[in-house]
Amino acid sequence: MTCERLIELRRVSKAFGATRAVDDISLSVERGTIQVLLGASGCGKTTLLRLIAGLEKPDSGEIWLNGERVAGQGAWLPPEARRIGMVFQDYALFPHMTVRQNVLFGLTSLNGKLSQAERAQRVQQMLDLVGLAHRSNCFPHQLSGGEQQRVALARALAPKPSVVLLDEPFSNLDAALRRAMREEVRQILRLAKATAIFVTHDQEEALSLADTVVIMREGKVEQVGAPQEVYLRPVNREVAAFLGEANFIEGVAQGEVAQCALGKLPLAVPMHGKVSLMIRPEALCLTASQDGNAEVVAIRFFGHDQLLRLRLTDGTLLDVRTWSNAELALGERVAVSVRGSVMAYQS
Amino acid sequence: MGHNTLIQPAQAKPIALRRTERRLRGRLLLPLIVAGLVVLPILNLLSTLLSPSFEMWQRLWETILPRMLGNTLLLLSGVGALTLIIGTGMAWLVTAYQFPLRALFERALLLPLAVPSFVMGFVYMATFDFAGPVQTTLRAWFGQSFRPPDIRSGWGAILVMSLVLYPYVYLLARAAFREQAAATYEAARVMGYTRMQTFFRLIVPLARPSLVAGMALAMMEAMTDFATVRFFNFPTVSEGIVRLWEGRMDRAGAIELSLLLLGVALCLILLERTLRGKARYHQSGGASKRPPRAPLRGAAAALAIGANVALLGAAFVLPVGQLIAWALSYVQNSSGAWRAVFAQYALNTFGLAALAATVTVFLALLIANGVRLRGGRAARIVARLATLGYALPGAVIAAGVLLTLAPVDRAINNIAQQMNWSAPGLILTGTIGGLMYAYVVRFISVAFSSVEASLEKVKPSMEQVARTMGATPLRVLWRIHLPLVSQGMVAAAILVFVDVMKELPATVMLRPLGMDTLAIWTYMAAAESFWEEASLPALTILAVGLVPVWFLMRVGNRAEQ
Repeated sequence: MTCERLIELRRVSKAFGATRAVDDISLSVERGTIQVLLGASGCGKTTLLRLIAGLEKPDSGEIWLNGERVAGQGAWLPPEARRIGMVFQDYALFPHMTVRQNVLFGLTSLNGKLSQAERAQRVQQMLDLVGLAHRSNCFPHQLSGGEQQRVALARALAPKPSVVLLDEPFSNLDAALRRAMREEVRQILRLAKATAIFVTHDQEEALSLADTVVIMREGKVEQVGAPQEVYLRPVNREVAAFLGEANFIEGVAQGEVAQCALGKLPLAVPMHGKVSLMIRPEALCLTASQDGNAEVVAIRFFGHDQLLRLRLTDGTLLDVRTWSNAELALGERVAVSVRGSVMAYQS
Repeated sequence: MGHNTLIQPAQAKPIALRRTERRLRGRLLLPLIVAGLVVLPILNLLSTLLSPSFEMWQRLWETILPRMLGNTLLLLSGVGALTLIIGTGMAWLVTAYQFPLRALFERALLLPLAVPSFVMGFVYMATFDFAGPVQTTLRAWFGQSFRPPDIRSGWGAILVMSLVLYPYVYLLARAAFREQAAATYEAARVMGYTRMQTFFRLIVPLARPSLVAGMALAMMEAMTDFATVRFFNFPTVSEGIVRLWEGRMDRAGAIELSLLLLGVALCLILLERTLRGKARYHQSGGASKRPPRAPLRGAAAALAIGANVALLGAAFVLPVGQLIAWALSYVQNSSGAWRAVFAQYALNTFGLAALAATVTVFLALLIANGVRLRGGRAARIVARLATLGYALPGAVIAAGVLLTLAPVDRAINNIAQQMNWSAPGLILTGTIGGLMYAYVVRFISVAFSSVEASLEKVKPSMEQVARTMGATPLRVLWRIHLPLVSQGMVAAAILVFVDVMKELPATVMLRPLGMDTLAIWTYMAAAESFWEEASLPALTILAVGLVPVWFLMRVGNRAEQ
């Protein structure tokens, strides 16, 4: 049966003692997409992943996988019967098996379904996919962090799972390697045409990896959407602040526009009344001007860009990200303008 | 929710679910029962406190008790102090200084671990006693009236035991010194401390938990011994228990005395905990490099080598050399009848040790796995109670086991009588069943720590990832747990095997008729001053005891690289 919704959660809850780790969450994942569960630590994202894997049982609600109910209403499919691949934060490679044996492990469980030759071929295929064919007889401790990561991925993908779950897979890697691996893992998943769910607390990672980002807070889903959508149109102030740097300034909305210290700004979503306007630092434009409406009060230089802090004539402070230049100095007066439309939240 | 959900096909699954949960609960219950059985003899012994026999205590107090108790405390403090000094000193010497043959000595210093104290005891007695070669020679030189201090005394026993027990302190001290970060040491040196000052002000206090633990192990070994102190005519409470038990068949008296010794043992455990305190110093940066060894030259190097040679000579070369000499002479001069005896005793010993090792490791695995699955404080308490046995003298455990099993035997015979069956006899206390029980209680902690450590290698995520890849729990156990844990299990089995081989008090007290072991043979022959006969089984025990020592040496070696 082909069903576009590969995974569906219906009003799933899971509590540990008094903490409601997952609180009445409904969510669906479409086949062939990469979904990222993003949230601060303790928001319940890992629990949600483990519920899908069958490593935890929901207290209430249903979980559907491939059109079959695997949890809830008395149904229960144990993890070994769910055809799910999983990559753990610590990779959980079996230290007493070689790379080849690790990848083979998931295939031998499908007893009888695959011949010896088919299994060997599949292992080879997977090792080629992750570029580790030359390391197939190594033991995990002989591999670098990035290589271990790729073995874990190959092992998860080998049995052709219906979905691969990845729990903070990059957190054990250093920053430079993390960026490279992120791209590589994305490529591998695309090539394997796999459906994947990542869990992370890293916004940049989530936005650059995902087809769909699911933002969680305190056991609940705050927003689901494409990376651009959640970043540019966050549903509330909390989500806006969690996803990146944000300026909030007070204003009065009049339908399509809002009046504030920066003048009249177009709104992304029509509103009325007193509002907080959210403006990302990179959405602001500066030009040096003696009669500008702001003054530069701090400069933090990063190299690839810089962050300026401005004080508007009414005292409001604003963070602005600009390209690296030495033209603006402390105390200089500037004119500020806004690119694009802004989000407004009822204040 | 609605009625229609009741007819969904998934409805069949709750039964399977319930079965899984039941199985899980069963897995937690079994370890609990096993742990309970291990603690039972000790609890039974404690429960005799509720019905104290004042008459007995009075009799004991008026006769042998004060001397035995005094001797026990003297022995414990003497062995504690001496092993602490020797063990810590040698560990510091080989970790902080460089001198010729250092690496060789570092490993060789572990060798005395393989020598049981009662073997050491009879060799020293034979060598240094009035009729022994040393005193005879001295008398020939200095005249017949020459009288060196008598080795058959408290100090003789303390010295002899310390010579074979110092490796406990040495091993733990060396590990602690190695772990200490170079930076700590260098910081002290930069602040103007000399090497010696740094040792006393910084290195030793930092290593205190390990030093105390090592010392406590040595003292526990000294407390369980009854044979050496008997050779040296220095009766302790352990010796008293065995004497009452076998000599006068005074089991009630032996049990009362066991209670006393249990009290001493519990005090020792408490003392260890207090001295160790909350101090569990963790060094930052485990991978940091160790301070460089200071090279010793000239007289200092000679002194260092001399200390090592003297210690190893006294604690290993002399006893082993003497034993080999005796054994050769015995084999040449005797008729050859010893072969059959030796074969029988060796068979008994290896059989008992192998059986005990298998049972103990299996039970340890059961408890360790239960504790790991369950987690939590209750499980940890169970584990700690179950592993208390190592701190308790063998004689105390034997008494506790008898107290526990005798009523069961009686009940079985009563039932048989009522059913008009033939009486089965003492099927628990009169067979190796009781002995096995005592071995498990005494040595399960050895197996437990080894098994537990290897179980920790199996991270929960490994099990989970295996499950998601379609492996059933059984397959996970077989393919993931077993290979990862098997090394630890083998190590645990070897340790228990060797410990059982060396075990004397519980074996003496609980062995069924005819079940004599090599250790008992050694002890009996030595007690009759048949040194040459005793040497043969003693050498066998020693040789097998070298196996775990060899492993220890290799582990130390690897840590060094």
